[in-house]
Amino acid sequence: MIQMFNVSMVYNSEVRVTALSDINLHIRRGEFVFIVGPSGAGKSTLTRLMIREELPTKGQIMIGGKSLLRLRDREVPHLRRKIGFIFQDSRLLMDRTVFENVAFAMEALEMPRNHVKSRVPAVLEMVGLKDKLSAYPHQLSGGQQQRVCIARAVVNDPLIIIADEPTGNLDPDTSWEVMNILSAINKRGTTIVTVTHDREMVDRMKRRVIALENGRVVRDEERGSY
Amino acid sequence: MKLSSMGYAFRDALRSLWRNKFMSLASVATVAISLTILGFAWLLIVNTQYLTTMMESELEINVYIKEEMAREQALEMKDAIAKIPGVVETVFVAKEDGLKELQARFGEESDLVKVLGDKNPLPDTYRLKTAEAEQVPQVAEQIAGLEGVEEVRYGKGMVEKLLSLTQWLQTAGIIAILAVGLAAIFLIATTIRITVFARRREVSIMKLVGATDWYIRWPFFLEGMLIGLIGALIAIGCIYIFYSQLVKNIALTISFLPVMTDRTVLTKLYQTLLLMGTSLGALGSAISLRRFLKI
Repeated sequence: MIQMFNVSMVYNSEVRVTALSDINLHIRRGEFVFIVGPSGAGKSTLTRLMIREELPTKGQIMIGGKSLLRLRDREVPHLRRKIGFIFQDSRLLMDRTVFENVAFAMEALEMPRNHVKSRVPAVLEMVGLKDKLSAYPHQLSGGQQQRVCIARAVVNDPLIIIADEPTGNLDPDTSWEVMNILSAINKRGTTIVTVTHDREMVDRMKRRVIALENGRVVRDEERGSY
Repeated sequence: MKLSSMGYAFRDALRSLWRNKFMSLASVATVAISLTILGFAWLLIVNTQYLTTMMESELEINVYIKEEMAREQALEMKDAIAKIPGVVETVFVAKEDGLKELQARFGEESDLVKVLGDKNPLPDTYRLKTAEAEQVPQVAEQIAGLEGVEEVRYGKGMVEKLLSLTQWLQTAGIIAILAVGLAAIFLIATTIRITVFARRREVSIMKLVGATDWYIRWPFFLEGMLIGLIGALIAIGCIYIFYSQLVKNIALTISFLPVMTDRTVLTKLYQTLLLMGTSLGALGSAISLRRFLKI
């Protein structure tokens, strides 16, 4: 599903910063992968490359068999439709209801209104927010907000979900709930890539772990730990 | 873009307009003001031109023939005068006819003829018309050079004044329109910039979920165009009310002043204003989106 061959990323600002060097990765369809490592190890750069927010300085990246380097600008939206994104700070639109926040992602893909109306409640039910359709984000707890964010990420049925520190702001119990939802989504065949600092969580989940340090993969284990 | 998506874009545009009420209002007002000025300047120009043509058709040159010229000689001059470029009509008025006309103007009971005795002070005269008002001074000068011409008279100064007024009005109008038009574009661009900043989070999410660039741009464009359109409608309303009132008042008080009331011309003006308002809006949006919406 996601393949990286000899990928390097060098930022040429005032000082030369090598964010990633010589990364080789293969994440298969339906996998659940944790990407761990200290701050500045290159985790965020890796996710930015996956959604083609940036192009690598060197190397090749393939998503679903398509090279991101050969992708034309106007094809980028279609790549992103295959990927759902979850943020640490959930990034909800505060002036819109839960329903509108999730519907927003479908409208952006120009889905017909009646399809939006039937699909959004179903997805919100899956993340356990059936009764919060018309609530505003500030009326929700952090965990609930994060579940709205998950609903928004999955509503368009992406092949891959990339979660950047999805539990970073949550207490352990709530984090566990969020992880369970992601696991449930993974069981239906969606590939999940989670960037995290949460040692306890990673150890408990017993999934594949890719550890980065100074822009290199230092460890890649099935059923690994932090 | 699909029709349902246009619905979404329209909703988002209206939402933004409402959220930045004051800025939107200021932009709408500027568009309305600039288009009202444009409309009135245009009406003023059209009316002066109308007035000029009306006066032109009544503008004539009087050529007085020297007294010592014999009648035959005077009549022979007709060809020479008619040959001058620009002259479209040449009428010879013999001095006897001139006197009769004069008497008719003074009225039958006047003592004009009695006072004059049997002397006729009037010269033989040619009355000329030119194709264009601009040609009058030039034609007059040429005729003055002909042999046997005593004097050439026309509404000297009047034509020049009217023409230069039209010219001046056009220049002033264009400058005013440019200035206010630029202000309108600038204000719309600023409004859209504010919207872009207010919606940057939405835009970033739209990009992440894979919205096309045009889906993202449309609401902003629509917002600018709506500002322009509403401004234009207000301008048209103002012009319509004021102009019909003006026409009514002129008809009542200074009825000899010709006013343009051609409905098709006015409709055309209104259509142009609508188009211009929408274009101003689109242009303002485009400027802002180019600079501030990084897709």
